[in-house]
Amino acid sequence: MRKAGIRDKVGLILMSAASFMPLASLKASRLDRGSPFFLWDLPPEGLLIIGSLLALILLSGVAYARFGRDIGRYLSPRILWSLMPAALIAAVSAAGAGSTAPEGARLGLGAGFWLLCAASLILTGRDGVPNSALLAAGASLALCAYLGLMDDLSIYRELVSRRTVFLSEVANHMKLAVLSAFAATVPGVLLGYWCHVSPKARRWVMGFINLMQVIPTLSLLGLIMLPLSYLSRQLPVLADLGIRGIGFAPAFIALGLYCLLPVTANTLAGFSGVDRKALFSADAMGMTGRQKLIRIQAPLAFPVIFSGIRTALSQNIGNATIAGLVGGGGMGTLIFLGLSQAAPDLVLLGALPVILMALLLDGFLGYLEKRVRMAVLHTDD
Amino acid sequence: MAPALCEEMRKAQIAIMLLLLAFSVFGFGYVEGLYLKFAPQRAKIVERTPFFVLALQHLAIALVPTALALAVALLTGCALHLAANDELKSLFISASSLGETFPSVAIIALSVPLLGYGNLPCMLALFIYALLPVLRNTITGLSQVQKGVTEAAKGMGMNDLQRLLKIELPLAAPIIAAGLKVALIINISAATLGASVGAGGLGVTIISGIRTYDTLLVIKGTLPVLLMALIADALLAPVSRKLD
Amino acid sequence: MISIKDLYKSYDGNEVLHGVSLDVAPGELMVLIGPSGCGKSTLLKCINRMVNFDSGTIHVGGRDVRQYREEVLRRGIGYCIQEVGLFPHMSVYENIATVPRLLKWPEPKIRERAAELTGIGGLPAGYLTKYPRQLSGGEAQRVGVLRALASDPPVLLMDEPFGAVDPLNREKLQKEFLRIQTELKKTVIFVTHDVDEAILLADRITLMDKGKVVAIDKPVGLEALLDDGFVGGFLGLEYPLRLLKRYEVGELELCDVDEGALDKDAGAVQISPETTLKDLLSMMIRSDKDYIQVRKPDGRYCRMGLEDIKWLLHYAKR
Repeated sequence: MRKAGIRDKVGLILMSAASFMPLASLKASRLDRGSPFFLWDLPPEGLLIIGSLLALILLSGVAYARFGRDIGRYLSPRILWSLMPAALIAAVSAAGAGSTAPEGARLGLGAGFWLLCAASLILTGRDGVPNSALLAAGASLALCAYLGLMDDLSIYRELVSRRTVFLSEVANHMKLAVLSAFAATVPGVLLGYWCHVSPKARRWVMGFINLMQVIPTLSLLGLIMLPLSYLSRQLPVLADLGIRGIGFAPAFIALGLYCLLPVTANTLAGFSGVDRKALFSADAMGMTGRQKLIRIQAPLAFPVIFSGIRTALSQNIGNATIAGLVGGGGMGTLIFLGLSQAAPDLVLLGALPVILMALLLDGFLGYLEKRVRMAVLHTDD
Repeated sequence: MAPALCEEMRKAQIAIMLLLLAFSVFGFGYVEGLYLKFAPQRAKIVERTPFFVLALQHLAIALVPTALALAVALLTGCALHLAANDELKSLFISASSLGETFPSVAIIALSVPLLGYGNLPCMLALFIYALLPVLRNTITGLSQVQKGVTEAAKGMGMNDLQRLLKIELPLAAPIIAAGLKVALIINISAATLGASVGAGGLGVTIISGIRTYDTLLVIKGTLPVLLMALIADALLAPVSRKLD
Repeated sequence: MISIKDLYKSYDGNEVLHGVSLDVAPGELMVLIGPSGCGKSTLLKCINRMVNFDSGTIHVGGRDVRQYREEVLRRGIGYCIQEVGLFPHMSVYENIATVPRLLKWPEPKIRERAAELTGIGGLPAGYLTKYPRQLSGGEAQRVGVLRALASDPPVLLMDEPFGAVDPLNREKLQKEFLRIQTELKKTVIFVTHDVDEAILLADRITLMDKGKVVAIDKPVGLEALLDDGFVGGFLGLEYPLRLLKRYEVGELELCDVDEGALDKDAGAVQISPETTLKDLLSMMIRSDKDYIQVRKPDGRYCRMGLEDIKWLLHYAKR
C-alpha cells in the first residue's frame, strides 16, 4: 500500500463517520420527509455491491504493494475510489427495489451519502482530485442513470419531470453569468486603467466600486428594477428589445455592476504592478507612450487582469442565482420555486448544478490563468 | 496626515455613520411621509414586524455566526499551528478555498432540507461562509510569522503555548483581522438572502420591496445594511491596516 | 561628440545641476563620479532627456538634443542602468531586438545583429531564447549592456551598470566591457560612485560635487589635485595606490634579467599579463626582501625593486 498521507487519513475518518449517518430516506411523496435508513439497513445485494468495490480497492492496493506498480492503468486504488458514488447509488436503488413501499415512493439521498461521496473524492488524489477520477466518477454515474438505477431517486425524478426547464435554466444561468461578466470586462478594464493613470480618479472610482460591492445583491436588483421599468415605459424601443423592470435586464445589469470591482481592482493592480525598472527602460529606449502601453504594460498587466475576470466569473455563477427572484431565469428559478413549495429535492436540483458549475468554471479558469501566467512571464513553476 | 488626527477622523466617521444608522432605522418614516406627499397612490405596506426589530434580527443573523466562526477558526487554527503538520494545514487551506467557491445562495438553500425554514439555515450558511476566510487567514498568518522571531522566542525559553499567545498570535492579528473584515462585510450583506428561506432581517423589507415594485422600500431595507457594513469596515480597519 | 554647456536643473527649488559644462570626444569613455546626490545621474539623464533640464544646452553629434523628438533621440542613444530593467515577458532576443524593431529594422538584420552581439558579449547563442527570470544577476546585466548596444548607437550612457553585481562578477564584467569598448570605440558616459571602477575604465574622469564639476582629467592627472580638500576626501589619500591597479604588466615592458643573475634562494613568482602594478607592489610587501623576482608570461625573468615599480608608473603615465 502506498504511504497513507494525512489526506488519506482525513478521508478514511470522514468515511467511517459518514457510515453512521442516514444514507437515504424512503419517501412516500415529493414533499414527504421520509423515513431514514442506514448502511446496515441495506439489502444483501446492496452490501454486496459496496463490499465488492471495497474488496477490489483492497486487492489493487495489495497488488501494488506486492508488485510495486498498479495492475492496470485504471485499476489503481485512487481511481477505484471514484466509483464509490455510483456504487452507493446502485446499493440504495437496490434497497428501494427491495422495499414494500407503495407506487410513487422515492428515495431521498441523505447526509451519509453525500459525505461518503466527498470522502471518496478526497481519497482519489494526493493533492487535488485528478481528472481521471472525475471522469471515472462521471462515467459511472452516467452508466447508473442509463441502467435505470437512478429512477427511484427523488432528485432524479425531479430532474426527469423538469428536464426541459432544467436544461433551459442551466443555459440561462450560464448565459446570464458569462455575458454579464464579459460585458463588465471592457468598462472594468478601462476604469482600472483610468484609475492607474489618474490618482484623483482612483479615489473616486475605487471608492464608488467598493461601496457598490457592499450593497447586497438583492438590493442592487431592487434598486435597478424601478428606474429600468420607468425607462422601458418611456422608451418603447427598450421594451421592444426585452429590457424591462423584471427579467433578464435588471439581473444582467446588477451582475455586471458586481463584476466591475474585481476587474477594475485587478486592472489597477496589474498596471501598478508593472516593473518600474522595465517602464524606465522602455522610456529610455525611446518608446512612445502608446508603444509602451501595448508592448510592455498591457502584456505584463494581463495575467493580473485575467485573474480579475476569473474572480468575476466565478462569483457571478453564484450571484446569478438571485436573478430567479426577479424572473431573470437561471437556477435560482428552481431553487426559489423549491423553497416556496418546500420541496427539498427541487432546491437540490437547483443548487447542486450551481455548485458544480462554480467549481468546474473556477477550476477551468484557474488552469487557464496558470497557462496565461506561464505564457507571459515564463515562470518555471 | 498625522496619525492622531487620522484616528480622530475615523472616530468621527464612525459616530456619524452610527447616527445615520439610527436615523435609517427609526427615522425613515419621515422620508416615507415626505414621499407620500408627492406620490399618494403608493400602496401601504403592512409591516408584520417593526422595522427596528428586523434591523436587530439582521445584526444577530450576521454577527452571531461570524463571532462563532471567529472562535472556531481561532481554536482550529491555533491547534493546527501547534500540531505543526504542514500537510494538514495545506489540506485545510485548500478545503477552505474550495469552500469559498461554493455560492452563498446555494449553501443557504441547501441548509433548508437539513434545518428547515427560518433563521437557522441562514445562520449555518453564514457560519460556514465566515469560517473559511478567517480560518485560512489564521493558518497563513500564524505560519507567516518570521522565523527569526519565533527562534528568538524559543531561545528565551518560551514554550509552544507561550510563544503562540505572546508572540505569534499578536503578530498574526492583522492578517486574521483582514479575514474577519472580509467575512463580516460579506455576511452583513449576505444576511439579506436569509429572507428567501424564511429568516428575518432586513432582507424581508428588501424582498417585499422587490415584490411590490417599491423602490423606497428597497432603499429603506438597504440603507441600514450598507451602514452596518461600512461601520464594520471602519471598526476593523485599524487592526487590519497594520498589514501594510 | 557630446557637448554640454552651462546646464542648470532644479527639482522643487533644490538645485541639482549648477552650471555644468562638459565635452566628451568621440570614442572616449568619460566616467562621472562623485558622492551620492552630486547630480551625476541627473546629468546623464539630461542627455537623453529622461530629465528635462532648465537651461543650458546639450549637443549630441553636433545637434541640440532639444531639436529631436524625445523618442527619436532616445532610440539613437544606448542606455543602461543598474537595475537592468529587462522586460520580463520577452526573451533575451526580443529584449535585444526592442530598439532595432522601434527603428523598423528588417527582422533578418536584427537576427544577424543579435548573433553578432552574443559573440561580442560572450554569451552562448542558446541564451537568446532564455527569459530574464532564468538569468543570473551578472548574465542579466550583460544582456542589459548588449541591449543598449543593439542598434549600434554611437553614444552609450551607463548609470552604475555594474553596481548591483557581486564584486567578483563585477570585475569580470568591467574587464569585458573594457574589451568591448576598445573594440567598438563608442562614446560612453559612465556614472559610478566606485573609485576603483572609474580608475579601471575611464579615459577621463569628471569629478562632481553639489551639482558642479570639480575636476575633469585623466585618472592619473587627478593625482595632482589630491591636496584639494574635497578631491582628496572623496578619492582618498590611497588614490595613487589604487591607480596602480590600472596598469597591467602586459602593457608595460619589464626588463629582463639572466637566469644566472637571480637570487636562487628567493625564488620567483609567476605572473600573467593581467597582473597589475598593484599586485606587484603587494607581492613585494609580502616578501621580506626589498625586491621581488618574477617569471614573466614569456618565460623570462625579471627582478624589481620599489624604484623599478615607481619608474614603471612614471613610464605608464606618459
